[in-house]
Amino acid sequence: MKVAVMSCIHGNIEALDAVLLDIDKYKTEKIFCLGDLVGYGPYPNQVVEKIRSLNIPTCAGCWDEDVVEGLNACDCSYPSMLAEKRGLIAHEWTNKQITPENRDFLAQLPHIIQEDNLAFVHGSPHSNHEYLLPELDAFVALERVISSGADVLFCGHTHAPYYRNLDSGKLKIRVESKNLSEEKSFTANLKKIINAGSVGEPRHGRPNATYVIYDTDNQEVILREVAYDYQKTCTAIVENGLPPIFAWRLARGIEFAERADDPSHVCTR
Amino acid sequence: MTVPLINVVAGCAGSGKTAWIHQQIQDTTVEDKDIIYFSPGTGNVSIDKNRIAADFPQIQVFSDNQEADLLKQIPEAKVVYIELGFYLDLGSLSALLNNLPYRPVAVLPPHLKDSEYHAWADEIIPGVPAETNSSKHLWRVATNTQVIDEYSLEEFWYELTHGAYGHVTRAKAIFDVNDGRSIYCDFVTGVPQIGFLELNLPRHLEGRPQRFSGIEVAGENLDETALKETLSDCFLSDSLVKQYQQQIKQMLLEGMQV
Repeated sequence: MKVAVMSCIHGNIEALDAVLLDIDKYKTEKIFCLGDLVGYGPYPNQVVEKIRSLNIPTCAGCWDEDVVEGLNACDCSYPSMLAEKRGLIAHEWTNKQITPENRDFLAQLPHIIQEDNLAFVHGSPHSNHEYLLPELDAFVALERVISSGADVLFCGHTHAPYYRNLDSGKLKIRVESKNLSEEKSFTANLKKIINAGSVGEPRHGRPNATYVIYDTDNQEVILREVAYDYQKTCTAIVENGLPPIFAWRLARGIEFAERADDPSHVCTR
Repeated sequence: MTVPLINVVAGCAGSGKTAWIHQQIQDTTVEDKDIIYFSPGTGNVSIDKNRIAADFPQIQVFSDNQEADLLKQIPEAKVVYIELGFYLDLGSLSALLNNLPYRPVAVLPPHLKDSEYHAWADEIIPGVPAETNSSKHLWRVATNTQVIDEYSLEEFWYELTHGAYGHVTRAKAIFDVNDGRSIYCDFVTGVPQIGFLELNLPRHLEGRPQRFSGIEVAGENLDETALKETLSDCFLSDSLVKQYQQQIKQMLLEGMQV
């Protein structure tokens, strides 16, 4: 079975439409979405409505959660005071735009979706705000996959796609007490983490949307990069009164709205 | 009266005038106290002067409105460096120097040929390959008493030097950052960046800093409003300044590396 997995659309309907067209070419059986439908981009309602109308199984992203519950992040949320101020502007703008129906839809999104040996989360199984970066310590990475109960963990949130095989999952522990000295070994089967990147707000240095095709039969992973008319989105950002710097960053694929540069950071939210 | 060697140093924006002077001061056998540095036309945003003063605390530095003192001190000095910004007329010093003899030195990008600097200078120093004709707009602001969030500064500096606020050919700044250091930022288009440099100044950890900080940007079509607003978004509030200073003082007290 082929599945398409996308994440972090961030109110960018132009990018979402382009990705959906691209997915059509691959004849996938299912599409999954890893959340962050809103935030920064100028079309939050259109994006939510498109996802709703297509019945795409979607888990909650940190931006979706914040629009529903209000801002409540740990200090990993923003890399700087400047980014935090900008994030707040985007949050307040989105909060005003989103319709009650769409907010209700975001409110019922699950934290995790499971299908057979696949699991889908926004950030990590522990938190929508936690980054599973490609350089994350292998032991921590393996723990995150195992805690999802799956063999393949799909995540987003970092806005840069990657996939990682965790194939040396061995753990040896020794328990010692007065009367006991025992050693146990555990071996985990091959696990994968697949990050779908970002449809609407990439940070891989180009404006193109990214998503992933995964084949459950042969475990093939295809990281897709899709060009679209990002200038339309940039124009809409400015016309809708969002900070022009959002458009400037989108056009260069250098959005780093949240802290994503410290692989050792464990979110405390 | 002895007449010191007066070097008037000119050149395009970012060609390496201050760097050349810095090197000369570093290499000379003349004692720092016998050296004078003056950069006219910089108003209250005299970044080069403050950088030179931080690196060579013994040399005598002068600002605009101190011309009379400068003229009094020149006969006492052994070497004088007067740095002419790219925005100043090459003849603008003649009246000030009152016909004192000087050596005109031009620090120029290697690709620049037959310019007004070539006609003016006695000596041409090959500098860095800076752009020579895109510095029509100059934006400067003093930021004394402000403390900038260093992570925000990194983002702002990236945006500034990659065209988010107009075409920037040259940018330089001195800022006080969260942990009390004073840092120097430097950008010349087309020249690899070296990151922020810590100036040789004591950490400021008691209230708002009273020493100089500020920024100067040269280029074309600069969006001054956005520059001001973004820079202002990077500054710490009183409570954050206090919080950071307390943290750093505590860390230093405990012998931790900061």
